[in-house]
Amino acid sequence: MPETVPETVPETLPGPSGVAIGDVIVGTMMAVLGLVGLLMASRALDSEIYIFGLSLALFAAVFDFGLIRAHFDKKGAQS
Amino acid sequence: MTNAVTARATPAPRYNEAVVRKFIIATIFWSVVAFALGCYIAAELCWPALNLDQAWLNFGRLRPVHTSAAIFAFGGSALMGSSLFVVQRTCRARLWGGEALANFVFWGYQFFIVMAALSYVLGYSQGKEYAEPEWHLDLWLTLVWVCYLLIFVGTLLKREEPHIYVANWFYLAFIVTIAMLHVVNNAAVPASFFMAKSYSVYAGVQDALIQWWYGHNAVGFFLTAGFLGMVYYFIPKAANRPVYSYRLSIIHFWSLIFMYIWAGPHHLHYTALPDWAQTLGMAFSIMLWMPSWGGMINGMMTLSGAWDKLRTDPGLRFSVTAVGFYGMATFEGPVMSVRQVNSLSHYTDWGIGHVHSGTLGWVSFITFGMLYYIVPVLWKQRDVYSKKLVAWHFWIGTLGIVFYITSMWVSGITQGLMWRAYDKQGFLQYSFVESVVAVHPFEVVRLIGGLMFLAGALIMVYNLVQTMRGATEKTSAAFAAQAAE
Amino acid sequence: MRFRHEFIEKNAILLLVLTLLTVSIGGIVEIAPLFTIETTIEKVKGVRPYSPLELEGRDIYIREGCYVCHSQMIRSLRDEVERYGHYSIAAESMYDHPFQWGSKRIGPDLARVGGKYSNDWHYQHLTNAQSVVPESLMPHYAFLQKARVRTNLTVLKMKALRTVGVPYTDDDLKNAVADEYAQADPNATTTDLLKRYPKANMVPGDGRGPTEMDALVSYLQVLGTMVNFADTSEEQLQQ
Repeated sequence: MPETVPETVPETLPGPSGVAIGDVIVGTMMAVLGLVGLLMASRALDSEIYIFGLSLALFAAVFDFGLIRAHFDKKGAQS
Repeated sequence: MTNAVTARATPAPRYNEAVVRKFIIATIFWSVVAFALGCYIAAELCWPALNLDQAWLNFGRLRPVHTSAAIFAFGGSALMGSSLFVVQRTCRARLWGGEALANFVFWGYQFFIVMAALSYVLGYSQGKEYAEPEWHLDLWLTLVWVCYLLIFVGTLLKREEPHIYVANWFYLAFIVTIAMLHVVNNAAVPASFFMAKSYSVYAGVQDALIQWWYGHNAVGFFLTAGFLGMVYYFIPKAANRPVYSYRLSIIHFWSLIFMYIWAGPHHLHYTALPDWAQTLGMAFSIMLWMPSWGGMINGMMTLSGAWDKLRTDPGLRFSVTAVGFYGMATFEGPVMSVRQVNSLSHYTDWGIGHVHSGTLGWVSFITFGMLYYIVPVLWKQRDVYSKKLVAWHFWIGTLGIVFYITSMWVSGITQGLMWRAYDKQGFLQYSFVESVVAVHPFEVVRLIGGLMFLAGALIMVYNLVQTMRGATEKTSAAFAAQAAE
Repeated sequence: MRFRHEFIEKNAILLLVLTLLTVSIGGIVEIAPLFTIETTIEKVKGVRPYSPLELEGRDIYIREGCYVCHSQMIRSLRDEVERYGHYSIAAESMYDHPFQWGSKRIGPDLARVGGKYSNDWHYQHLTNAQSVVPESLMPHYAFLQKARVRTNLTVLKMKALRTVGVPYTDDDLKNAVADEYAQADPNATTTDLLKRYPKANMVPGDGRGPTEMDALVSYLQVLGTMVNFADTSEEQLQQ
């Protein structure tokens, strides 16, 4: 059965939410990049930047939703 | 109860295998895409009507999709998946950086591949081989790659093993060098932040050398060093023997990474590149033969005392044949880098054959060997679904490679000889288009070889999917033993 | 004290740094001198930046991946020189960002295709290569004739090229659109255009703005024509 390994960095933030640090950093980064994508699409001069910008925004949104879902799934499994 | 204390107390699984499984599925998926696209563009070269008068289906736009799918999608997913597997096991440590970062590397990389392929067919390209993605995709890839490097190095740093295992040296060299090559070669100025059009900061002869410094070391570090990491982990594992020589591993590693970097100029013989650079590139290309074969010997000899396993483990047969093809391709390469040979072989199909003996025989086969080993481990199965099908895959694939390489040898040498042939009056004997007509039969044979290779891959997909679904008999005892290793 | 490799094996950061150093050496030794040795690029006359229309044509050449089948580099070998013309010199691609030397000849070399065929031949050949060369493997590029060049974006491209070292003048930038129209309009006056871009090849457009086909043909027709080798001495070609 799976053994535990001591992590050198704590996986979760202190406090009642218990959100993993990695989730916060990566999630924020993606949110910012998603906005950059929207900005690119909004003023795109060719179809590639338009498609890329929208795809990036969509990708970021889906990815962040995935993070949130994984977090609550984990929480649900614990309670 | 859902507070931080319980969250921390919950036992984390020992290794992050979820992300490895994702990369392995991606590897299997992209293998079929890459091979199928290769077959299609090979068919276009036999019957140009297959371009179908559609801009996005034209050979010029599809070839980068094939090369990127093969190198970056298939090869890249295999390398990233296997490296994240190996680094955890050999360091006895879970991936650094948590699940979100690992997932970002996976999905971010797949996003890069899909967007790059889409941009090629839409007609956006930097116009540098194997570095076609435009600036915005290059930046995206840089971000993903840095995160990958962080995970890998972070895991090395928190390892519980005192030594860093040799496979990880090669993976590390691959990750670091590719980062360097990618950033330097793709340095470009976009026409606008809102335009997918940029211009390389280098021009002409400097750009040419930087491109082939990049291009040849994409071969040297992406398609060689990374996959040598696989050799140093999966062959000893599957054969259940230690690596043949520790000392040879050290020499192999440092000499290979030192010499490979110099070999780029052999792509530019007799061109406007100054002679001194051509000579330097040629000299190092020839010297490179030695470390390459040192590595081959180290891989092969690991099986000494376990050769009988080749009969019982068809997956291992792939790995060992791959090392054989590696030896062959790394002998052919130095030969082709000699200026006089290169004057004949360059610009011809010989080059294509050489690349494919490397990519089909070496890269793909070592990956197949890895897949047949890793899929049962990751999906907690005792073994692959059918060893018989593995054997079928092996023989169809090998035969396909033979068709491919030999047809390209014949075709390439034919082209080279026809282009330089003189008639009795001292005029060039053939027009260019006569050489096109002459090699048509070999192009068809090449396509057949490619189709066989694709067929083998499809057999593999079926076999591995059945394995994942647990179609073999499950033995929990065997699984437990495997998990405890 | 004896050196032990073990020390490196136990230190991930050291391994990382040493690896990076090891792989840097070759590149630095080979690449840096290309920027510093002055004779790398021959001192010859005639090489000029591409005219706006040629530039757009070049971008289409890159977009369609022409370089995967056609090289632009005649090697200094007897048969190549006889087949394609004077061997290519570094100066000829000094404004090529990126270079388009290519690596494979599924079709013939194009380094000196400029002026070899008529404009009409190129239009016909690009539209349907098999109608001119029945055995050709080339895809059809008829769609280029239907698309107009987005001339409003050319200036942005020229500015980016100026940033990376192509000597476009302010005058060149100011007249970019006019020059593009003029080069693809049989009724236009071309004195200014030819002063800025000597040897530019006029293509027979319809005067309502250049098509992508016009741009591509103008680019193909200038390839390899800039340097006059009859006026160039052997010494000038020394690297």
